[in-house]
Amino acid sequence: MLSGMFGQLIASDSKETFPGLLPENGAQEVARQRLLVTEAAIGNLTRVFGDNHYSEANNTEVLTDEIDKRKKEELRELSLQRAMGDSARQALSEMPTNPVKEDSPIQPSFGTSHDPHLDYVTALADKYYKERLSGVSEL
Amino acid sequence: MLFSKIIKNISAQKTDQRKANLYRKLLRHEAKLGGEVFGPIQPNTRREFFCLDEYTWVWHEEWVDHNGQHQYMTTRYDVRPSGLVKSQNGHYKNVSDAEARNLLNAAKLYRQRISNELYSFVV
Repeated sequence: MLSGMFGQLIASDSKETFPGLLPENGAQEVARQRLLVTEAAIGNLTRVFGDNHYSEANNTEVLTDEIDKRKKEELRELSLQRAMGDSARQALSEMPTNPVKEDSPIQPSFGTSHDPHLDYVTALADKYYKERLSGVSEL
Repeated sequence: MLFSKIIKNISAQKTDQRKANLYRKLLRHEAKLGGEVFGPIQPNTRREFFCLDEYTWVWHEEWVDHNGQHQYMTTRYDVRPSGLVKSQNGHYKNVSDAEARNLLNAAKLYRQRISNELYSFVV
């Protein structure tokens, strides 16, 4: 069942890692998965050519669009990082300089929704993910 | 009951891990075979070409230059519905007609080789 190079590849593996590598161990499944991925990749690549109508000139536009898109993404990341940096600095400046004493009636509430700093970070993280999901076009 | 559940869980995790390891190994082996579709490889050169996923082809080459310095070049082709996006060591490059055609030919040869030499047992 196992033949050719695949057989050699399996033989080179330790028995502890791949005991037998029979179909029930998933070898067939994994190999089939790789074949399917390659088939799909060739299908996608062939479609780009559209029966040999690939043109470098058209593709240059695709490349330019891609570079523009990446630049916008990088700029957005940078501005977001700056915003987060400013917010973090502000949050730090607002923090009390004296540590909370153990017998103090006011105890830190980390991990609860009552912590204003935590609320702020959560909101910022939500905003960050929403922006990431919304795409460049909405900027 | 609980014990058998734990055993089942561990067994499933082991199978997944085994599959993941095998997937990586197969990909590495495909890359080696893929590197051979472009012809003989020079001494002190390592060439790999492989299909990363449904939309990505990678060509990696390492060599030692005249000054004995280790050099490398990773070329990544992203296949989009509208065209090809190529990046080389992180820089975008244009794809000429000839290069695009060569990529398609190389991809077809790659499929042929891995099907015959690596996955001939797949039913």
